[in-house]
Parts: sequence; C-alpha cells; structure tokens
Amino acid sequence: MRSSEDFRIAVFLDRCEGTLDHLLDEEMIKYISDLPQVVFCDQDENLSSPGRLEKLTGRLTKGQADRAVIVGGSPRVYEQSFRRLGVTTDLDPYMFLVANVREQVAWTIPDSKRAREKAKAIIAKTIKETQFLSPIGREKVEIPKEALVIGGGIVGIRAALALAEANIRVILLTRAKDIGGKAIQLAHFYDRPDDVSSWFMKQVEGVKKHRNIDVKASAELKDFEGYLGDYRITIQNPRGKREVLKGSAVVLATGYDVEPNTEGIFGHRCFISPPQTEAKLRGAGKSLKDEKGKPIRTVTFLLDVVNETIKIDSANAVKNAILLKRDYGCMVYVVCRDVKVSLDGMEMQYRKARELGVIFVKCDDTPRFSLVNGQINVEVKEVSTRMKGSEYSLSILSDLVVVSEKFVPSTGNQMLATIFGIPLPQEGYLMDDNPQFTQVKTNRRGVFIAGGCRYPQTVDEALVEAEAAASGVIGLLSRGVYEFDLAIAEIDPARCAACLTCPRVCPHSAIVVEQYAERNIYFTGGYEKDFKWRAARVLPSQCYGCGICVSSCPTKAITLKHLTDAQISLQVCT
Amino acid sequence: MRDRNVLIIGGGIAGVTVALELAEMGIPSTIVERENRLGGQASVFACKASEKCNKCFACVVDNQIEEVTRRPQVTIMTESTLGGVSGEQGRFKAEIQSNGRKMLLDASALIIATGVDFFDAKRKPEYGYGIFQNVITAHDLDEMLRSKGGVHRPSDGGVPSKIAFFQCVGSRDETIGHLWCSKVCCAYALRFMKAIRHGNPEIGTSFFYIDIQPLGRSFESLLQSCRQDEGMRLIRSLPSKIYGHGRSTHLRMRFIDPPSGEIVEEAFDLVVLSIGMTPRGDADGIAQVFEIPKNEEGFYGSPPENSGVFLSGACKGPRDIGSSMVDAKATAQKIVQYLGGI
Repeated sequence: MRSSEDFRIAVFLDRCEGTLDHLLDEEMIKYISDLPQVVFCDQDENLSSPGRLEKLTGRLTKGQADRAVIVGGSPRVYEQSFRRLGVTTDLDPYMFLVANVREQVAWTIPDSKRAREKAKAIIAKTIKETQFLSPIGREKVEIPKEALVIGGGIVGIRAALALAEANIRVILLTRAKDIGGKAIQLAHFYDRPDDVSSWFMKQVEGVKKHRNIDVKASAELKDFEGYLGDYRITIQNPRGKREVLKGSAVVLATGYDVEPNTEGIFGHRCFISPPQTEAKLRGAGKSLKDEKGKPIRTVTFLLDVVNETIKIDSANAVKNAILLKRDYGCMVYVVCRDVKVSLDGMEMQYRKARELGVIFVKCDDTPRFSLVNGQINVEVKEVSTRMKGSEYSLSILSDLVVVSEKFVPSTGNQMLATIFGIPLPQEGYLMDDNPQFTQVKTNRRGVFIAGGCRYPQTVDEALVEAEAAASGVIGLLSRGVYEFDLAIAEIDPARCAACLTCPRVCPHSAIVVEQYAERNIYFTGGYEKDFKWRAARVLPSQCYGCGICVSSCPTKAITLKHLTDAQISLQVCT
Repeated sequence: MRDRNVLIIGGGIAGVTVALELAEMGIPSTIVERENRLGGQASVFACKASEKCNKCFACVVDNQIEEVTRRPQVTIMTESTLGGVSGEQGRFKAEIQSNGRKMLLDASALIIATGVDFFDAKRKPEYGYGIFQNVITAHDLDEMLRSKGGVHRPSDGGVPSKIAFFQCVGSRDETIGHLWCSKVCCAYALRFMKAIRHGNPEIGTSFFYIDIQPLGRSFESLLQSCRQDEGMRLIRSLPSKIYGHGRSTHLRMRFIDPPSGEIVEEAFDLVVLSIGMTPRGDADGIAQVFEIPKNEEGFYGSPPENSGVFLSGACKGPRDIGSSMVDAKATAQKIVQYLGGI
C-alpha cells in the first residue's frame, strides 16, 4: 500500500439548503482543511440539484486531488451523480466516499456540542477510509445480435417476432412437435371480432417465414450456461442427439399447465372443460347438440371453484355465454363467486350478457351436483336470494356444465428454475428479479420471463408481456457491447478451496468453478508443471456486486472491489 | 431514422418508462409534461407495506423519475403543452408551448401517454363527499399517510375505530354512465386495509364491494391474508347512502347484509371512497389532432396503423402502475420496430 502522505483528498461540503449550516460553519471548514492529506475544501448550498456538483468539482485544478469526500446527506443522493461526472473532472468515479452528517448527526443528535463532535468523528473516519480506495475500471463484453426464445406458445411466438423485426437473429425452441400452444384452443376473442384460428395461423406463418427466426421443435432442454452475450443452451432431440445453441440473451415463455377435473361426477359426459366448449362452438354450425344428437338447451358455467384470482375463465365464460344465448338460444347460467370484469371492455361485455338474459349467480360455496334424467342438477347457495329454511336456494337443471380446468405452474418450472438459476417461490411460478422494479427481468442478466410462466393471464396481457420482454432484450443488444463498472466481487484463485459455497449462494448465477488456478495455498507440491487447480471464478458481466459470496466464503478468498473488508472494519470499529 | 427524436406526450409513469426503455436502446426522446414535475397521477401514492411489502408499486415511481432525469438521451420539458402537429408520419413537426415560448420539435414518432383523470367523488352526492368531513377519497387517505404517516379523522384528528371502504365509486356505475371497471381499486383498498391494520390493529375495517377483482401475480396471497384477518370484513354489498350529523364524528349507512339478506344499519367514523379512473377531460382534443378513435368507454382505441402515433399506459383504459410500466415497455418495442430495428 502507498504511504498515506501520497493522498490528495478533496472535500466538498453540501449545506443541504441551509439545514446543515449549524454544523458546517467556519470552524468546521478549518478543522477539515487542517486534516492531513486534505488539499481542497469548498462548499455549496445544495449539491444534489443538477449541475452544482459539476460546478464545485470544476474548481479543482488538474491533478490537484486523487480522491474525494462529500460531507452532507445520504450517499444515495450523490453516488450516481458523482459517478457520471465523467470528463468534467479527472477524479476516478469510485475514488470517493460520503460522510453522512445529515441523517447520522443533524437529524438524530439535538445537542449541538455532541453533534459537532460526532460530525468531526464521522468526517475524520471517512477521510481515513479513503486510503482503502482504488480505481475500479470498466470492462466490455461483445454482444452479438442473437437471442434465444424458449417456448413455442403465443408468448414465445410474439417475442420471437418482435425480436426478429428489430433485426435480431432468433432461435425459437419448443418442447412440442410444432409451435402453437394453448391459445389455438380459443374459438373467439372476447374483445375483437377476429377469428382466432386465422389470426393465429398468420402469427405461426410469420415465424416460419421470417428470415431471422429458426425454429427448433421437439427440443428438450438439458443444460444452460454462460453469461450475457454468450449464453449456451444444450438441447436434446427425441433420438437422443444433443446440440448446443448460442444466444446473447434469453426469453423464457414456457407457459403454465392445466389440471382437468374429472373426479367423481365431473367425469360424466355433461361436464366439459372450457377448451371443449370452445371446440364445440367452433364446430357447432347452426345448432348445438350433444353427442347423442339431443339439442343443448341449458348451459351452466361453474367458475371460481378453482382459479379464483385469475381472470381467464371469467372472460371466456362471459364471451361464450353471449354466443350461446344469442346464436343458439340456450339458457345460460354463470355460477361464480366474483365476476372478473377488470379487463379492457369487459364490463360492457358483462352488461351485454345480462341484457341478453344470461343469469349470473353468485355463491361463496361449491354447488352440489346430482344426476337427474340424464341432466345435471346444479344446486347453488345463492347469496342474495337465500331464504330461511332452504340452504340451497337455487337449482339449475343443465344439459352441459362447463367446469374450469385448474391452472397450475408448469411441471417443467422446477427444472427451468434449477438450470437457469431463477428463484421459484412456493406458488411455483418463475420469479422476476424484483416484481416491482424489474418486471419480466430475472436475477440473471439477460434472461427474461414472460406470459404464463410468471402467472396465468389472458392472451392480451400475455402478448404485452412478450413485447415488454423483447424490449428488454433489444435494449441490451442494441449497442453491440455491454459496458460496465468492475464494481464486482473478485476471487483469489490461490486461496479458493473449491468448496462450491459461493456458486450456491450467488443469486445471479455469476460464479462458476473452473480449472484455471496457477497456485493453490492448500497444496504444497507434487503436481505437474502445467497443472491447473479448480477454483471459483466470477463472471464479471453477471455480477451485481452484492457481496453475498464475500460474506459466506469460508477461506476469505473473495473481495468486493468497491467495498473491501478493511473499509467495513474501519467503519464498524471507529 | 434512429437518430431522430421520439416525442412523448405525458410524463406520468407510462411516459417516463417508455423514455427509459428507449434510452436503453439508444433512441433519444423528449417528454412533454403539462405539470411542473414528472410522475403524474402515479406519484401521489404512499407505501402500503404491512409486515411485508404488499407490492403496491408506489416506491417505483420516484425511482423511475430519478432514473429518467439522469439519462442524457431524454429531454424533459415540464410546464409544456403540445400546440399542434404538422408533417407526415415519420417526420412530424410538433409545436410545443413551453413557459410562454413556442418552439418547433422534429419527431420521428409520437407517443400519447396522457393517462387518466380520477373520478370526482362529488358527482355521487349520496356518499356525502365534500359534505361530511369524515368521508374522504382513497387519494385523501394516501395524502394523509404520505404527509402525516398515519390515519386520523379529519373532523377532530382522532384515530378512527371503524373504517369503511366503498368500492366502485365512479366505476361500474350506470347512473353516471361509467361502464368500466377501474381494475386497480380492489387491490388498492385491500392493501390500504392491510397497511392500516398493521399500524393500528385496533381499527376495524370493512370493505364494501360488488365483485373482487384480482390484480397481478401476488393477489391470491393478499386476498387470502385479508380473508383470514378477523378485523377485516369483506361485504358483498354497496351502501346506498351515507347519513351524517354535523356534531357527531359518526356516519351511518344502510346496506343489505349478505348472510341474512336483511337491511341493516351501521355506524363508521371514517368512510374511504375508492374512486375510479375516467378518460381525461381534455381527451377529445388530442384524439382529434392525431385521429385516434375512442372506444365505447371513452378511452383511446388503437391509432391508425403505420401512422407513427402510439399509445401507452392508462389512456387506453384503467391500469395500475405495474401494468402501465409493462405496457410502456411493450410500446418501446413497437417504436423500435417502426423505426426499423437496431
């Protein structure tokens, strides 16, 4: 380490719009200026307002200082703007610290004498801490304009098209024999007149004809590794042949699964699922008949027994109830707990269904079913008509009962979460890095999720998510390189015992264990000259610099470049 | 075309997020905002965490604004309005009135992200907003939590013992012609109740609703935790009228009690109206300038294809902060495609 005499520290005081005037007065400035190594000390009324920091640091002459301290509010206020100073100063963006005398002194210590002492202690400690700073530097990784989209449903198709249209080469992978997915089961959209199958075929054709898209069907995922700009997926075809595919970024659009309910009476031919209803309506022609040729007169939709907080079933029930009532003259009942109208235009559809004569029945408990002369008697505890003495106040003799299939997380999610390193919460859907701040982004840089693998949603909502995920990929790929500060963790391979603790705790899948270490302090000899030891290594572009690995490394082989252990000790011990 | 500016009308959460997303792609943009600050309607909300984060998105707004002001690719013009637009698609010339000055801006594409207005609760006089002090809107409650850190009765400053939340005030209401669901208010009010009961477990809360509308992936657990809390009553019934008395802090209301089907009367000392969203009062002007159709509800429908005009966020229909942001990201994708890719 360089001797402390070499430091030249510039101190900037922020009076925070006068709120720190009682602390940062003439005497304090003199105190700071007299501290060893301080070569510059100046102040400003409000450093957090735009342009003020540039102006103050501009007063430094070239080479006058090599590190900086800001005395004022919270580091959050200054950190980003200091790091973006760029050419206006020759100070390194990471060679600076903040002494927070606002939150830690002015707001907490009313006694002025004690406050002054505390402020001085904090400032002195911060100036001492600057000895541990070192320049951080930047690095670049090449990002070819190639992406991988996993999942051949409507979300995967939309994301692939969006990326391809932005001039990105796309490989679209699907486990199924062909692209398609669940959306094709729909006969109509609830909100527009387009016929689903022709709209859908247009999308599929669009993918197959696009010069930027390659489709790999019947592909089973086997392995995933790499980093932003160089992700590699290993797939296996049904004949057992493996192939490695490369891409700079990945969109996961693997959808959700459904569990049909066919237990007990639900196995009866009068109970059908929503996709069967759609199929029936698509092939119905002019009249609606059951398989024995008897006309269908009464249809009951049963909602909210499963999927209570998902809007899909409710939207489809309202849409199909209108069709059944208007085009086939059926009596239609919708038995539900809540009518989900929180979709664009849905309230209008709901009103329309009611005006046509569709009857919406609300109940909190599961209805009772019985078989009466080949029809299903649905008995409901209707909430508003419940009368004294009769528990089940309403009975609906139905030719058809549409029972929802339960939406469940895809069985593949566990495997996806494991091989992609994405957290899988208890409910079983893949998790965004932060559901508020970084929707559709995962904790692994360059890996995005969209659609039903996040949670089941309607076609419209899922398509918007597909485009949002594509937008994220385009943003990362647009510059051709990814440039980042090396404010990351660094592993000393010689001290690494390859215990695999850090790759397990890293939330961003940024640590790999490779055979690359020249030396290893745990072995003293007896190996060949060119032998390399196994040791953990940080993938710089994947690291977020969070420090979790640093604190869990049993051999203290990892350091956080922008916040060393020595700095933390100094902060804690003084 | 990429070096040319994208003009964003509206600096709310949707406009700000589009600008950030475009900046990531290296596409410069200008945000024109009528008010003197960014954030729009989304910036009035308070954090609604209870023992854990309830995913209300209030914290995201400040973060996004802070982020956008740092982007060199984004020009922000506050206290500015759009005067008019000339030129053909892809080469627009927009006239901006900024602080009394007029200027012309080139734009390769235009994004309308003008958002929504909130329903004026005074249009439902039976609920007594503006008449009884202890009838407030959910936004007043947000303001109260944001500025004072807790809930109190406006009439005397005391901590209320029973709070009623009225859903669908200005939404799903034929009497005022608002035939749409505002989508967000159920989750919004339930989060309020969680946050209030966390801070003051002695306060009983009642939630009067038509249908509970789910919102987002975490809604299931939110609803379950509300149902399990005995201090939260979820009542499927909307009171018809509020009766108050000048000298009393209490407000009486009459509603049908769902389990018995009988009309009951109950007193509360604070009523919170969950006001919905409505199309903006000045929506017609912009619709005319850009030839944007309006849908049955009065929100914007899709602009003509290849016109170079795009919509983003709640101007298309009510949206919460989260979906507005996802929608804004999707809009950015459409823009980059329109501008010929990367």
